Amino acid sequence: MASAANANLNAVRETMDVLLEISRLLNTGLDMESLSICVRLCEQGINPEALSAVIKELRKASESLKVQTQAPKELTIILSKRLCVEVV
Amino acid sequence: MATLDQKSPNVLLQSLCCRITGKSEAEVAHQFQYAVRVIGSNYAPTIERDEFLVSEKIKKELLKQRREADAALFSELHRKLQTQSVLKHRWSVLYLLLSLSEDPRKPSSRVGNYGALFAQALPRDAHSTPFYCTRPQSLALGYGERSAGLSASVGTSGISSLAFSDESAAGGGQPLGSRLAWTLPVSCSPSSALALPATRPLLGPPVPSTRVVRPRRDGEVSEAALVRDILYVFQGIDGKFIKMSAQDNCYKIDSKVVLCKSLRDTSSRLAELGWLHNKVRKYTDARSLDRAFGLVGQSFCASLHQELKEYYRLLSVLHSQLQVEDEQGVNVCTESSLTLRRLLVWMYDPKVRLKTLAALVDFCQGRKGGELASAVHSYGKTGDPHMRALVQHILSLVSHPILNFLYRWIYDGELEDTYHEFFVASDPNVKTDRLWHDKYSLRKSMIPSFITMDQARKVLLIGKSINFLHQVCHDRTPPAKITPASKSADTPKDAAELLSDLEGAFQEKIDAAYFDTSKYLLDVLNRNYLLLEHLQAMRRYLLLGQGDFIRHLMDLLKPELVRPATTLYQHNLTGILETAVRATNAQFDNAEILKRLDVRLLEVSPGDTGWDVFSLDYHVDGPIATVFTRECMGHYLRVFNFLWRAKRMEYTLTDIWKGQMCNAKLLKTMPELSGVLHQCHILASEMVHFIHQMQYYITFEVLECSWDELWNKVQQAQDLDHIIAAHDVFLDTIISRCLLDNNSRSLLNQLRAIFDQIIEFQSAQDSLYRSALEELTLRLQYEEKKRQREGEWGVTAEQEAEEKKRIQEFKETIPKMRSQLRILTHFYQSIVQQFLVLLMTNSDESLRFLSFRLDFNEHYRAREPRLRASLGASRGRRLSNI
Repeated sequence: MASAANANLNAVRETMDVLLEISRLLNTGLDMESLSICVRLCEQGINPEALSAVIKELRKASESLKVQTQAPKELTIILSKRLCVEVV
Repeated sequence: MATLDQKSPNVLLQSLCCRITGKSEAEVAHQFQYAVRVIGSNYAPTIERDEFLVSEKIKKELLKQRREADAALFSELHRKLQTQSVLKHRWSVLYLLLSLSEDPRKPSSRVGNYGALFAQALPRDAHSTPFYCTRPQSLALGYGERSAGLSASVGTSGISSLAFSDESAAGGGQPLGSRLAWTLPVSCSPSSALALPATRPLLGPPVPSTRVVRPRRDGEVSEAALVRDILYVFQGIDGKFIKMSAQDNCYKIDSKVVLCKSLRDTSSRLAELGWLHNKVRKYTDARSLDRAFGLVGQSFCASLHQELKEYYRLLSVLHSQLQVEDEQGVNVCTESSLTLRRLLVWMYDPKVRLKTLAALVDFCQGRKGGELASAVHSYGKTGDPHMRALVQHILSLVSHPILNFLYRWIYDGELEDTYHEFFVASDPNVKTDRLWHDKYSLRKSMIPSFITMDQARKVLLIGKSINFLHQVCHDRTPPAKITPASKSADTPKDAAELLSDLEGAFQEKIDAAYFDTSKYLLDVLNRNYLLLEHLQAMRRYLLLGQGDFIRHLMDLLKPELVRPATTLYQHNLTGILETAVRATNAQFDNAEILKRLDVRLLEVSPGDTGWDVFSLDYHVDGPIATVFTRECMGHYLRVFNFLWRAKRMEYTLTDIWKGQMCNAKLLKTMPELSGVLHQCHILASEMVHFIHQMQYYITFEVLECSWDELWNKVQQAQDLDHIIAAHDVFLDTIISRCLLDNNSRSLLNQLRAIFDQIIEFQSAQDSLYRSALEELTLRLQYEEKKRQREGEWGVTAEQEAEEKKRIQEFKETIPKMRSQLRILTHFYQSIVQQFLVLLMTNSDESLRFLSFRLDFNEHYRAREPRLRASLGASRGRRLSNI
């Protein structure tokens, strides 16, 4: 039993290694932790398209957040411009 | 390393968010919510769950990036993965990795983009709050014309593109509309943004190229304004810059407008659609006001309307697209918008359709009814399958009313055609007695070209028969009994089916109706109206077929007819007719027939005897009168006249022969008469031979042969028209062969002259016999007297002298008689010779053979040099040579 569990664990580890390798090949930018979460989500039946979209969006958001902290001045300009557009 | 245990997706998602953004859980609430929403909505994947496909895609990607070694490595890893059975949804993971993969060669295209931050609600459908996206052009970065900015903003719509495509795929009914929706975002793919703006002309939506915004001239009209104008022009409304110019009959761009040449050309090409639309619209509008256009025309207009409606629908999609762009910002990003080029491509199919419609409209100007259907049908003969499909569709709609007319006509005999569109025309002025011949005719111009002439004639016949049955034969059997009811063309779909199988199903229908109806009609005619019996009766009475009756009639009539014509009374003659009928086999005939037999007296000219004015008659009425029309009866009477005369000649000659036989013995005692009598006998036998041959010719070669043909045709006739035609042919043949038509007038005159001669001869012979017999009786008396006085001195001398004188006188009359006879003979023979010459040169073969038979021993040929030419030689020569 334990060996079975062990074997299972090994298999899992191997799979994850392979997947990490593939992910590195494809240059997805996912680290092990995120990859494992994603794998789990997919296994539970989540639509991979949606998931990838989410991840992309999150990344962009995180980057924009970074930028945002760097250039608040532009943000206000943009906001005001946007409001004008909205009115139009 | 976490085990693959079953944590709830939400928890997983949150930890993912934290991980990627690198923030704590509280700060990523917003993103987490968003993530949940996205995942929740897009539950079903839109791509195929094919692991193989995905792995192939990955390999292709790698190869594209020129990393062959990596591709091989990936295949290795994939194989390894497949051997392990840990993952259940391998394809899902692979797909995820693929979509997250990035080309390491691609520079990161991150200029600050803020759109996602402010994106509140994703547009679920077109009417929800529009997707606001600040365009980097509004950034005061001086990037107004740099393509970089454009592509960045384009990048944000990555999600919206998915969403947009989702909803449009769900709601897209219009093929073109959904195509529109698909193509617009497709073009918004992240492109190599910082590539230098290239002044390439934009080719079309699938090419994700950079859009060039050229430096504009002052006052130049923008493409967007032109697009708006064009959309108006598509509907036929003059735009701001593009107006309809009446004298050139085309859409022209105002020359004052400043416009670059390529735009000008493109808009001219697009304006053609407006022109086509106008043409079609004008036609339908004009026709819908026209009351007298008829059902066919109306269905044509309806089909055109349908097509125009589709066109308008397309235009409204374009309009809505334009509106969406309007609301999305003043300086609209032109890569995802309508451009003239895009319009060109999208409107290509509609343009072809409109062209076909406009051509049809042109071709069908001024036509209606069956003509219109023919015009549309002729347009369907093209190789282009789309055009053909379109025209077939229109044709099925257009021919539906015609087929309706047709079915009503052949199954009910009813014709309700107020606008004169059907190819069967009815003349309301014609009365029932001429119904068959004159009332219904074919309107040749209205026969559609997909119905052959033969079919059209059959259709006419079927309806005519039904009407004939109803009105003339008073037969009210419902048409359902005649032909087993078959479904008529109720819907245009039926019409379309029928049209596609014109040779088979349609022909079958018509044939079936034709056979059944005609058979029924003929049955009714034969059973109820005894058509065939009447035909035979005509033969027997008017064409002298019933020999014993005719003979007896002539016997009875002879004393009557010798008298002058003015003293004859019809009722006397009718009485005689009835006597004759009762005394011969004619009494066993059908009472119907005998009822119709009658005597008719022709017009009396001065000097006529009864023989010239007597004629039999046969009354016809009702349906029989359709076959035996008035002209036919006239023909019959003429033939009767001729035959009656010939018969009379035969009768006369029989009398002459009888007289000769009786008196020959008696007059043997008068040897001086023997010469005269000999001459009489010779002439009589010539005449007898002639008349015999004529009678043979008439009876056997003319009447019997034609009658046989007629009878065969009538027995095999399939409809009433056949019978009428056969009957007419029969009469024509008889008339031409009996020398009664116009060509043989000279022959007929000759024949009449011969007949006259015969009659003269008869009277001459009669007078001869009378005087001879008188003389004979006187002589016998004298002999009697001589024998009576027995013992006395017989007759006195003066009595003897008287006797001798008388005999002498008698003997002197003999030469006179002889010369008279000689003249008669000579005259007769010359006439016969002329007759023979005419016969020989006639074009009818049977008449030529008649001449051969008449002169079988070349008796006349010896006298007449013209007859010496043989039959064979004269065949080559024509009349002109004689």
